[in-house]
Amino acid sequence: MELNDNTERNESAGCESKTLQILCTFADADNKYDLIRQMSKMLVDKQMVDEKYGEFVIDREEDFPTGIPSEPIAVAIPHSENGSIYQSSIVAAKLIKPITFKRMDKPDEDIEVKMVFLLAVQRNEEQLKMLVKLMRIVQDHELINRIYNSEDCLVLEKHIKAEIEKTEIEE
Amino acid sequence: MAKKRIVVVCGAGFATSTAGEDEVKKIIKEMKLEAEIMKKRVAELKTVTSMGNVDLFVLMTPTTMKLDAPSVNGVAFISGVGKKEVIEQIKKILAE
Repeated sequence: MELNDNTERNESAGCESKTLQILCTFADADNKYDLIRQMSKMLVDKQMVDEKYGEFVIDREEDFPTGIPSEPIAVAIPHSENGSIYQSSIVAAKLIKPITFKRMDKPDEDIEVKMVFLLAVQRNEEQLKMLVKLMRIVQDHELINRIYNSEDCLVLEKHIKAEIEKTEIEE
Repeated sequence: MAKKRIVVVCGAGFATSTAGEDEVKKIIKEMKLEAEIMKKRVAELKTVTSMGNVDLFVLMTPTTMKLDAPSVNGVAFISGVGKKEVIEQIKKILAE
């Protein structure tokens, strides 16, 4: 039974990376709660996280907000260490209209974000390296612009996957 | 120079702190220092500060707790904004 489930999951999910799956969406939400629920539901539908994951992420966002004042595209990286993760993944959302998050470094301040990366990752060396690469994308003005301006989800997915799977060049 | 002890602090103790750890590692390497880098949850800070032998805190999340060593804003390592300045701050703190 597990075998069948796995096959199905791999086929239906987005770009598959070595250990992390990347899913993309163009999201239209009224607020961060609505958005996080929409994004978590994508993972729940593919049986990649349990149904409670989204609510754990929302709870954590209240305690430890994740709005990042990156330029030119401010982002947020909501995540939680609670809830069950069956398949590690990142959901990348380009927002149809900006959404207000609280800043990670200044939780009293609001920030309007244009892209959100919902993380469902485990405490695992290889996945954490990919997370670091994702954060490098956010800092690269040209690259994040190119990703943000992708006209469809597949292109967006492809860009992110390519960056995250790049072998180490620095050090 | 004695081995430096650096604590990277975030909410969960593994996700965002990994980005901070990555940058700190580069600085340590560049400065040819010996260092122990620990990733901690903000909830664990009380235990960490009571150790009293930390040289630097890299904060991925702010804290009102009184720290017994200098701290820098690690979110610059995710946003990229003000990153150079934070790297300079860290170098100055570790050079002492």
